[in-house]
Amino acid sequence: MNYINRIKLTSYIGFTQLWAKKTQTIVAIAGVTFGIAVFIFLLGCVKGVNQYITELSLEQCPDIRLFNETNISEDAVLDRVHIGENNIVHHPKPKNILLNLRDAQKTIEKLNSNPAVKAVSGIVKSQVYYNFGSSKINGEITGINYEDENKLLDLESKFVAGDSKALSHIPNSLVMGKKLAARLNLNIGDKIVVTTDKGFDFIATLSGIIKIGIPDQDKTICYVNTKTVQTILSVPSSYITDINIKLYDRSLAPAMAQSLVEQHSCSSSDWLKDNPLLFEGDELNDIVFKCIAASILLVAGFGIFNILNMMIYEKMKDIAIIKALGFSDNDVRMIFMIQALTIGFIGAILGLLIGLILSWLATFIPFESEYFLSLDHLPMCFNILYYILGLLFGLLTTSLAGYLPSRKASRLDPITILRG
Amino acid sequence: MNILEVNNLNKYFRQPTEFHVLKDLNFNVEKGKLTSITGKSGSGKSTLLYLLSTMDTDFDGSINISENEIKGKDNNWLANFRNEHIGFIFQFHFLLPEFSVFDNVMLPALKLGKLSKEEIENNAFELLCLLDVADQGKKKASLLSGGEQQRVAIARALINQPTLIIGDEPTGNLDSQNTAIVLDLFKELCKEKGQTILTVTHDEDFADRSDRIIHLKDGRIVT
Repeated sequence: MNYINRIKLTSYIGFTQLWAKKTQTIVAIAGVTFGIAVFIFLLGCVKGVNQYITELSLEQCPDIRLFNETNISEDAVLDRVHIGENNIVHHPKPKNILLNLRDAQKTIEKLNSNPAVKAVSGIVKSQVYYNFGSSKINGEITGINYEDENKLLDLESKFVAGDSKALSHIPNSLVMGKKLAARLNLNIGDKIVVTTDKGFDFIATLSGIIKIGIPDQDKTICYVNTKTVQTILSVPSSYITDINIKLYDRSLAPAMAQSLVEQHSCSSSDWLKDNPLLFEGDELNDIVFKCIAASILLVAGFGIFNILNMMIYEKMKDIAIIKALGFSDNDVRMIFMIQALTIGFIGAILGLLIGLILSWLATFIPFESEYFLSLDHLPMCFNILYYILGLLFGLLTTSLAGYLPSRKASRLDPITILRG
Repeated sequence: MNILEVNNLNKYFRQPTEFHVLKDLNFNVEKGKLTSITGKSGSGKSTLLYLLSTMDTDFDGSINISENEIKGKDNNWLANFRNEHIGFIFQFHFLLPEFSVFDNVMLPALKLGKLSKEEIENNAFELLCLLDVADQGKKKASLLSGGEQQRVAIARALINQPTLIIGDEPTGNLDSQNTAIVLDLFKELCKEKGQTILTVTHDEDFADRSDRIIHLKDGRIVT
């Protein structure tokens, strides 16, 4: 008997039996459907939120940062004088060096012509104190060229008050994070005295307030014009402390950072190094999530196992009869495996559909957050990969759950049943 | 020509205690004959039938059906052999309740796969006509009366035109009129198609009209 015929016949028997026991079949299918639907919905929720937060954080973070650090030199002067001797220097200290990048302007020009680079911005950072009444509050100001930085981090969309253009036109104007402005009790147009770490005072006007969505940044960020910072630090206009780079393809960052470090002898960091917690958290989330999904599917699988077992108990006589008619052990196993897989397939497809609908409905749930500017509903993830995974999981658990009962059915001895 | 040869057949039940059911059976059955097996309940008739039907393989001795030794064959081979060469009519009709009468009759032939579906359908219809249940063909098997189910079961046993038809009281559930129909059908099958029929029966008329009677008593053949 050829194979196709055999499959046709065993599926016909399997389907007829499933159809005859509609309630049982529906319960079994519902078990799988529920498992897969929850799987899809949970995955969509968790991944959606994760992706949203990751995207938000990465959007706010340059792909590559180039900067200089104060380092102690690796070899002591003593080593150069007393060569080969056992020189020990306790607590070496660094030299007083300027923290600017060498040839920054040229580097920026070169990066701008690189096709992989989306945006480059040279910035000047400085430690400052904000004079708030009689107390001084520690902070950091970032001197930016507004057009460049806007291309890099899309500042325009983050303004909640004030004029985004003022930074480039009005001298000594400041743009602050929302929380910082609130802390210093500043409104648009208010003036504040800022003191640099070298003791230089200057008066600035608050011209804009931005909200990034990450509390830490909203509490510290303060933008001024590059020229302003260079003036108060009394350094030339070539003085640039950091170069921030955004790439079209973020994954190239680590390699590119490495080569830039070698070319320009500076330090670098990339988005991976800057956000270690974010990705480690992601991994932890993934593990927890996989455990939840596995336990849901385990329960669904156990349900199928139970129902198939029950069906086989009820069908013992029928199994004995078809064996007496000349159906082999393998035919019997095939009949029950086909039933298990049918339940699994229909259940999984329905589960995917219901999961999709639930996820879609969830995007209408309003979600207002003080932090997330652009978030007004639950972020859901609709990755096709998870749907394929759901289908595979459904089929896998049902075939595993169906295997043992099918084997049991195939091994039934017809005589013991027929004899009664 | 012998279609069935049984030599030194011994059968034991091991549970709950060892019990010697069939003791040293030796007999042959000729092709084209209707043979009845009689005996009191507990004499081992059904046990013998299950052995001859190749479903029970736990025995000592030798059973040879159409020159195929049954002893020592694996389940797969036996299933195919049963499908092609043996038609079994159970004591209770034993139809598949969820399937239609037609499906029940056709399943063994579909499994054999030698004929097209249309041919099998025609054969099934003819058999059901012969047994006077063709009008019930589309119904579910579980909706038929006991006698009707019994006749459907007989049709199922005949669908593959097996060389050996084994019945465990095939007319037990039938009234005298239908018993007569079945008996006539059996005699015709033996005579015209050369099929061999071996059946356990309590019906003395049935036994008297068969070609040969094998009487079992306490696991031995008494003649």
